[in-house]
Amino acid sequence: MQDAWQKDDKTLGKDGQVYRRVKRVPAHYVHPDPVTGAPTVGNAAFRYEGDGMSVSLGELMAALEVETNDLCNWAEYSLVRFLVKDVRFLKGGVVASVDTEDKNPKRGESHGLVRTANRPPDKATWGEFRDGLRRILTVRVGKDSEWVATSSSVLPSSVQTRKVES
Amino acid sequence: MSMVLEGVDVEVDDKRESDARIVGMSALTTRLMSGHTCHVQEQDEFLDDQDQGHGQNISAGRLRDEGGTWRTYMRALLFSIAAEPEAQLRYRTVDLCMRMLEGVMSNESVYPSATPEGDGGITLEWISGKWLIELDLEADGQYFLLHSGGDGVLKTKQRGMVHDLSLSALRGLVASFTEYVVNLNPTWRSLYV
Repeated sequence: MQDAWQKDDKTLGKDGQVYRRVKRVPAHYVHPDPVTGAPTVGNAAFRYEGDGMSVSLGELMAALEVETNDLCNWAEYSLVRFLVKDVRFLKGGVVASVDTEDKNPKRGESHGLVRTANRPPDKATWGEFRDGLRRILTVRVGKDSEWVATSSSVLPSSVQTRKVES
Repeated sequence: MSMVLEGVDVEVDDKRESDARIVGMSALTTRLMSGHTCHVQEQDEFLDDQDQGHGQNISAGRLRDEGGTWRTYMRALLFSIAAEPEAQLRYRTVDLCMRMLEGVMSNESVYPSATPEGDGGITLEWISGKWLIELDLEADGQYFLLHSGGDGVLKTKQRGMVHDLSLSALRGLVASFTEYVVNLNPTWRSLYV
């Protein structure tokens, strides 16, 4: 019998950050906006694999003293982030899910999954969901870079106030 | 015979020359050679399409590519993606993708991004500001099209088999997107060098 599907863990605070690595080399995911030249992140960067989309949870990272610089090799990846409440706004959910194969145990313990109501979501549902995420994320392209909104950010809520937050 | 490998300067009509080049080939080129086999298998199908007026031969399009237009950019991008094993993108898919773009792009068209889905499929996206045209070409022959215009409102959400995809409708969307970009940044090509 299939386990009960948990879409969302309400014990995770709505203001917690959610981070996802985005592979940058050879420029598959971070593509310049043809108008501004600013980085854009394509919907394809948000891939649903297995039981959800792999992310790191800021709330757990803080408790485990995992830094954002621990999440990726900046030579190959950028980081994008959004809030737990952003995911919920888009009718998705976030659950903690330890990555036991991570070479960094603390990072593995701060691992989570972004999910939708269905397991797995149908292509159209996930396509629309990830397009929503793309529009509310901020991106950081290097160790010393700031978090910046992409040109695609359209929601006036939390994102705009996070525009230059470091 | 020189077909899909023209772009990486590998000729296969002279066996001795080909063998000599193979010795010094990088892993990337070796993978391109393996992809060549797929392309050869597809040749008859491509010719059939031409005969029936269903498609346009990519090599013919390549010959017209004199100004560093989308063909140069997209071919390099798609081959670089296909060279990565984790992308699981077959060279046949790259070729089919280029064929489809022949029916969608003009020499003025803004380039899309291309992203492997990791399961043999690929996603093409034209993104600027609130504009989005997303076309997922899936490994099982289906497509998914998502489109929102300059107001950010979702206008199209379509799914079906690739052979049912309306290239003329997609061409219209890309033309509108290009017009939007060119009006705001006529020198957009400088961002892609």
